[in-house]
Amino acid sequence: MDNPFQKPHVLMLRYGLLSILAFIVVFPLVWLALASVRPQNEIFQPVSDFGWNTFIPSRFTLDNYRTLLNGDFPLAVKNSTFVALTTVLFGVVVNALAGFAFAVFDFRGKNLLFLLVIVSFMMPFEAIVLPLYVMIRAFGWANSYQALIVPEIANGMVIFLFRQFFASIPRDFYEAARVDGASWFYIFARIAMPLSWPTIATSGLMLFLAQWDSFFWPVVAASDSAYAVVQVAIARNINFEQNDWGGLFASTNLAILLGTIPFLLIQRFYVRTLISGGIK
Amino acid sequence: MSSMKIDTLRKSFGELEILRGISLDVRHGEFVALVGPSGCGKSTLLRLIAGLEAATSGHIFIDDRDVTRLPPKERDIAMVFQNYALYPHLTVRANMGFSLKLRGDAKDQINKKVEEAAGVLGLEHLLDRYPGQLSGGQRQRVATGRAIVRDPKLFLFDEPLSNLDAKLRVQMRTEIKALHQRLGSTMIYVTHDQIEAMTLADRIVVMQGGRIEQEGAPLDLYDRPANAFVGGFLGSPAMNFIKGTMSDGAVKASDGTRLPVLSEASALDGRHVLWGARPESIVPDDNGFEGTVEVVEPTGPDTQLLVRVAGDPLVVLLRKRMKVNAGDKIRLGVVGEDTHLFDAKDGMRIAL
Repeated sequence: MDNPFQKPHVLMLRYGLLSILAFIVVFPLVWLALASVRPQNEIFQPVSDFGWNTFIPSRFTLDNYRTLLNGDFPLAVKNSTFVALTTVLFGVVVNALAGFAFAVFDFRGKNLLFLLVIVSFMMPFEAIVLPLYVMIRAFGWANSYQALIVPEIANGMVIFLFRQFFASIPRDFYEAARVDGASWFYIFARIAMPLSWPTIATSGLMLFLAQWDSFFWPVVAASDSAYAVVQVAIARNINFEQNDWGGLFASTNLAILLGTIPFLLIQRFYVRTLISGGIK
Repeated sequence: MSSMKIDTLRKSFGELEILRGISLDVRHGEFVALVGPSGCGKSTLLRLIAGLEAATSGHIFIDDRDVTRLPPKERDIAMVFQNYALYPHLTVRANMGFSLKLRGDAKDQINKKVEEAAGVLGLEHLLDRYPGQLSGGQRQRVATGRAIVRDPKLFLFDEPLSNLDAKLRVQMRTEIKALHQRLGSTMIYVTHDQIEAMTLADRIVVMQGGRIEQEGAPLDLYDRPANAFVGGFLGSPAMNFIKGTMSDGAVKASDGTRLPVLSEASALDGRHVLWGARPESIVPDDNGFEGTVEVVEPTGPDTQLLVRVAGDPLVVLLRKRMKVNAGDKIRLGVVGEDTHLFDAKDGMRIAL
């Protein structure tokens, strides 16, 4: 790629195009961030009047955030955090166990079951909302944390990820442990899981973001404001009577920032590969 | 120390029959090597003994106890895997103590045993390292150490040296032999390397196509192979074979070349045979049969010649240096009439 003999105008063209692309991607986010620190009445002014004002607020204010923190938003953050972390905790264990079974054991109907797992994540969630809601109602779980957490624990994509990883661990690890007297559960917990930190990190992140970003299911299953999650709280800024644009942008901004924290915490696992070393 | 007995053991994967009725007795403290080409079933046999695969039929006894249906951990065996299978997230100490910890031994007991085994294998200074920080030979030693800390009834080795380079392999081979002499344990060792089998084992079991071709002491097998397969499998360079017909107490090859055999062979006249001679038994002999030298390969201690005799290639290993060039005609004989005769059809040894 980096050919030192490349003609300068080709280089210029390439970087020029890339810059435009980067601008298109980043600009809406920058605008969002800036809008959240503008006074309410100024938010849409720069849209019709594109110029330096678009980027530099005339007056910097944290009013939008202050209002947000005094309202329902902190509760929504708390709800979302609880729901997302609980889902990650149970989801990683449950899906890893399922992936382990698919990778290591031979049992009747294994291929059909695995096919169903794959189908489950190909299928749009909207297709099962209604039956799922009926089921949740029957359990008496409407408007509860269980309703938000339990249906999201088992995740076909995550099972698939774990299966692929566990299948890539040389069988000798499992067999050596069996000869040494380990039970299958011990092998799962002490051999397979400690080797799969990168997969655990990726899956945990996927489960976390799925819950952090989920909107449709919480609206359906837990409409009570006591159980409102972040995305629902964001949407509540807009309603028939009045639109709170400042609140909308500030809450969206916060949701994005909080949502990136887990990613920043675990990104070092993406670089690490633990599998090397034990095998020749 | 323990004995092991296998009784008409069979294993099939669906239609495919991997083991076709294996029976084998292993005495207390014996070192048995299972050898054979890949796909002969030797590894499958070892995995059945370990309990990693279930037998289709037949029985395995360890110390007169039928273990055929028992899971691996109830068989009291230890296995060294081809690629060592050291847990990368555990230190050498934890790797070696893994089975003891599972067994529920006390912590100081585990440490004592691990350090003892580390002493035997020269691993004391590596106990706190991780497998990724070790060289190939060190990993091999840790894998062996993991097996010996348990003091099992039976040691199983599945091609433990095949991942090492040639020089290290020879060194580790000697170490395993010394270890066996020191521990006096019963060991079963799978390898495709016949030199490993020859040097290590008290007894060699040669397998092919899911059957035992021959078993016995290494030199007995070398000197009196039961069939052409065993004769060709043991020894490097391999035994030479030339097809011919018995006539006047010698083997007459297709072009009429007369290959010498023991003098008592005259009773076999007219029979189609496979004449076999080891490369090191063939020497220059002015009264012998004639061949054309095609390749000369000096290796230092000896010289290997490829000679074309009666249209067949014949490998000759000369212990003495000799001036010879490709294209030369050479007359050859066999030292001490050390030749083997096999039936041309079924390859079985013809007793002389």
